[in-house]
Amino acid sequence: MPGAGHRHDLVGLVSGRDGVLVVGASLAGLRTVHELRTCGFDGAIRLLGGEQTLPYDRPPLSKGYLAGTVGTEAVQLTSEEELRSLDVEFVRGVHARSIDLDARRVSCDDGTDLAFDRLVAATGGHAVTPQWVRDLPGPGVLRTVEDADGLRGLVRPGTRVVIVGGGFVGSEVAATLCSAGVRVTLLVDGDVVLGRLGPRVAGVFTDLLRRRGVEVRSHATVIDATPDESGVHLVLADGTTLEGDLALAAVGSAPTTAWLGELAGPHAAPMTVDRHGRAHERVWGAGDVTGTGHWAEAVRQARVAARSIVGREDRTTHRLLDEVPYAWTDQFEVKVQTLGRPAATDTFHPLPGHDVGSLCFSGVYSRAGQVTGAVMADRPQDLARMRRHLAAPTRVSAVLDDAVASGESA
Amino acid sequence: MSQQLHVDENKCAGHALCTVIAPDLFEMDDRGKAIVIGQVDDANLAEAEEAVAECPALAIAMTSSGS
Ligand SMILES: Cc1cc2nc3c(=O)[nH]c(=O)nc-3n(C[C@H](O)[C@H](O)[C@H](O)COP(=O)(O)OP(=O)(O)OC[C@H]3O[C@@H](n4cnc5c(N)ncnc54)[C@H](O)[C@@H]3O)c2cc1C
Repeated sequence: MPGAGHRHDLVGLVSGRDGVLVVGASLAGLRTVHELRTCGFDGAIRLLGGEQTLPYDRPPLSKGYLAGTVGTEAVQLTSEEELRSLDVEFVRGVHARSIDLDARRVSCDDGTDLAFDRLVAATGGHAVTPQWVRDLPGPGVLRTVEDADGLRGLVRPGTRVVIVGGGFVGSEVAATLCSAGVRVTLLVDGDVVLGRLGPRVAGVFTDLLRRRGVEVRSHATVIDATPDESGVHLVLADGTTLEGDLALAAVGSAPTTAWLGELAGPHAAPMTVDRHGRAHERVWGAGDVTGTGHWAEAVRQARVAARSIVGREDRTTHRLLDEVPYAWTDQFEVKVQTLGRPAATDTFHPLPGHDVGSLCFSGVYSRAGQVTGAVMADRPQDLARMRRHLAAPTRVSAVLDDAVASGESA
Repeated sequence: MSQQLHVDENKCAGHALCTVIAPDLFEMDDRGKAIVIGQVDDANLAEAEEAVAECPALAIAMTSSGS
């Protein structure tokens, strides 16, 4: 039985025989630890996190936490007590700088070296921060709880905020701030917000934002911004200018891989892992660091990696390996859930009797007659059935016939 | 002894995996939260345990209560 003595094997010159070092203490890192213990792993675990806080959850940062309707407890992913019961050594406020695979050692920014037997990279992603936003007041981007606090502290009803980027985060922040009486201008580079959902679905959510008072500007790209006495002054690619009190860039995230050296590709490419999350004999990766970008996927990958480390291959492992990708976004009061990985160019079919304009509908995407994904807007009751449809290759006609047969309508 | 299922509403994020694993025990309500609709018995105990273990949000708990 490994005991407390294994702890210090992780540090200094002696490598631990069975120590797992998890780098990145957020969703993927914490769930890896959790799953390792659930699967009976009793070796030493060290969790290294760059932030000073306990691990927290990011989805509320653009939703309830930004709105102020939920507090810090709602974003907490764990407690000191749970970390103790997981028997994990939590090192906070320290960043991994580089990794030496031969020496099995990670060098940190506080000057320490941490040895490992096996390593899980769970350093997630960071917000892409365009040059133009760097000199502006406020956080400029939204990825951390500090960013959310900073943004929340600067907006009042009537504040003019320019949000650049109409993906999940940009559109959610627009909806949240607009509901709080903030005057929001949302600049998108394409025609619509949430363009990934295809023109038909994206169109109704673009309309919803407009109806609620967000000024959505299509085909708008910022090339320069300067702070001035009254706020910020933005210059767009078409030569027009825009004034606001504050600007936020929501132009995507990039995997945090600089410390991984050869395990990540050049130019901020994600870490490459196999379907078990493995990147190297002794190294696994889980979560946004692998380029995935969604909450449920981070949980799934963390569990798969932990199971691969302990060599657990049971029914649950197989289900996790086959799980249909799932994500969600809240657009005002409408919860939008997606399954699969549809492309924006796939054909969208609302289920028979479902009206996209009502903002309460389900539908499927298809390419060459095969289902590629599904979307549910305010229809959580359809999620289970859609998951079953997407679990195996399915013809779109079969899904639509099934919806008719089961008498489903919105 | 009987087993009781509980869903923590604050943690439930509406992923609906429990309704796939144990359709007789869970249903999604119209706010997108899972609710318990059945009693755990010998026939569905394994499904109930699986639903607890599989919840991505760790929102489901099963407790024993004296009968
Ligand atoms: C505002 C916002 C809203 C979102 N909403 C949704 C949503 O509605 N639905 C959805 O499906 N997904 C959503 N997501 C995405 C989801 O939050 C991510 O997929 C999830 O956070 C990924 O978890 P992770 O642990 O892989 O990475 P992260 O959450 O990025 O965590 C990585 C951690 O590693 C730490 N770290 C980084 N580098 C180092 C280092 N060198 N050394 C040590 N530690 C390091 C970081 O400080 C961080 O704590 C949202 C994301 C954001 C930002």
